[in-house]
Amino acid sequence: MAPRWKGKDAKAKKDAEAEALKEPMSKMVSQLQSSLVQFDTRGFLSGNLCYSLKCLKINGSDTGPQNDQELGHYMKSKKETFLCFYKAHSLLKMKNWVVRPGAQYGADFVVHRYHPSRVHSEYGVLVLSDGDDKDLNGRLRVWSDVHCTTRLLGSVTKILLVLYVNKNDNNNESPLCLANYTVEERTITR
Amino acid sequence: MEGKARGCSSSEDSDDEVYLQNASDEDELGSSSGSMPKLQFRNMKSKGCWNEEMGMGEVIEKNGKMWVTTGIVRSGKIYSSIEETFRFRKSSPGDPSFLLYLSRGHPSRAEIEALERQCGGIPLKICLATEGRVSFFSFDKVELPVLP
Repeated sequence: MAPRWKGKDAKAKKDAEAEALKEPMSKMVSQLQSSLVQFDTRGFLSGNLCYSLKCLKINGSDTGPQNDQELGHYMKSKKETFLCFYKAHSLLKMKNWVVRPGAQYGADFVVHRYHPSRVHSEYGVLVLSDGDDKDLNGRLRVWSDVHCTTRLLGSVTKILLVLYVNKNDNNNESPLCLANYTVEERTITR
Repeated sequence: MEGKARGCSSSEDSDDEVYLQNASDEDELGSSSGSMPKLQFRNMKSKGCWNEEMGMGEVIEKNGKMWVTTGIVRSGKIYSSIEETFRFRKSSPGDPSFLLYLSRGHPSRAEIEALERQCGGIPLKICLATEGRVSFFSFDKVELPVLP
């Protein structure tokens, strides 16, 4: 599927394409990373910045920065499937896709090939846990779910991409065990 | 832009096999009939020319009832795709385009993988049929590209 550029006419789409190719996402992420490290920025969200890019620290409500173990445990207490989602999200970011919330399309994420202001997203992404945690996310359990999701995404010119995350018997809550998680990517089309 | 002339022979009887015959190879076939499977020449011969722009054979002279249900119509002309132009035999049809698994419940990823291993590389589609409505779903393994 070719990227679908944003713009009100052919010339605007051409301009969006030229700008996007000039500034690939890996370059932007690198710039963000160095600026955050430089100013020792702290925040309350974004595990991606904290754990993967090592440029953000998370404070507890009344303590100093939390380590990865504490952070992982806390996140999992809020959402049981957090590590699966984090692994899937990390995979997409590592491949330099722009990941955005997909709730309005009935998906977990949507991913853009370039900056979202320039190009429409190509995939609606669902994260499904596999192995011991099978079906924990409660999606695509019956055929009507498959019909519903493929039709909804198809109507907005996106393809359903399913990321099956298998934790391979790791019950550790530390993000370190993410290295042992595996992800299988599949598209579902009708 | 026209390639070699090709002909298809068809017959009015119930035989629904279609044979490819390349006109320029006719003498060669005659001289080496011992080394190739013997082709049966039908009396209702059609003629076509390969159209490079269309990527299909344009049927110039069509004979036989098979053109009622065969071919692709574009701008009033009838074309034959390359699959239709090749020799096709019921007894030796070649690999199918895909295999179809009729399913009632939604198969899990592990079940799909097990089915795929039985398909020997041929694409698999999962078929769901409910109250006369039929859907073919593809669950294709992909590798999302790493972007620049």
